Amino acid sequence: MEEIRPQIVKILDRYIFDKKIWNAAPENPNIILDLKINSARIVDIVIDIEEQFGIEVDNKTLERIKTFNDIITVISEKKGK
Amino acid sequence: MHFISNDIISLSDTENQKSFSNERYLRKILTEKEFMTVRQNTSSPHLPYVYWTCKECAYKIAMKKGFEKNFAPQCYEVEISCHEESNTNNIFTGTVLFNETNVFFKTEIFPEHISSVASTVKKEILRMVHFVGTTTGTDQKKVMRTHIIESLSSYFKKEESEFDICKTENGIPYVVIKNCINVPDISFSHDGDYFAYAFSTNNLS
Repeated sequence: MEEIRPQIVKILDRYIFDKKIWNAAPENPNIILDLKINSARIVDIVIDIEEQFGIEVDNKTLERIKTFNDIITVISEKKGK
Repeated sequence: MHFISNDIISLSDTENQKSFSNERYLRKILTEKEFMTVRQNTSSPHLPYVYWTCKECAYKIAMKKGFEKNFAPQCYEVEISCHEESNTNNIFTGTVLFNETNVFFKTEIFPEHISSVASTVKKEILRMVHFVGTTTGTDQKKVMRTHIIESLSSYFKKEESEFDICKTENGIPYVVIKNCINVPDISFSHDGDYFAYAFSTNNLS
């Protein structure tokens, strides 16, 4: 699922105020704590992911999404890959 | 232990305006009952924001109680018990239920922002110290930290140097006070140019 990484970066980047934050972020950044994305934007991110990848993210799945890799895992599971 | 929390949301932030007017967004953050309440109360356009800040407050308390998962707003059910609206006030109060825990909240609506405070104990809503300020630029967190330490120092009549504000690895703020074991619970929030904090006023020991 490496091909989806740049797509996720592009989605998250829309909600990052200071783009330089990627330089300081760890390899698997926490979306709120490391990327400093406003918590209100997490729902926007989830909607963008649903639209981009044709999946549905329910509440149980949303509770699992804290980091970049969590997003990859969720998409992989939902796409059956 | 009694927990408190706060949240603030800017009404002039264009991203917020876009999100909170998007039905798909609202359907993701509101329960069915809350969504219907919003639909039926078109004279209260700020209701979605009220629901959001209460849920955020409840989530912050959930994290303090050890909840480690991400915030799923629909899992937090808001029950508004009172709405007082006058020329000078626009205040909602009620409870948020999550994981069989009830949290009490008070939300105030101002022209440019909405601010909520919450606690696991109802009387703490009136007793806690709560402040909302504005600042621009990249030093917002520094300004907020300085402000809260000044406020803690003033309230508890101790030197500012005796206070330190730390965060857990989950980003939960807490205060350290020299020679004190029982310290007040604190909470921060910021959105756009706004910052807000709250702390409980239990006696130090």
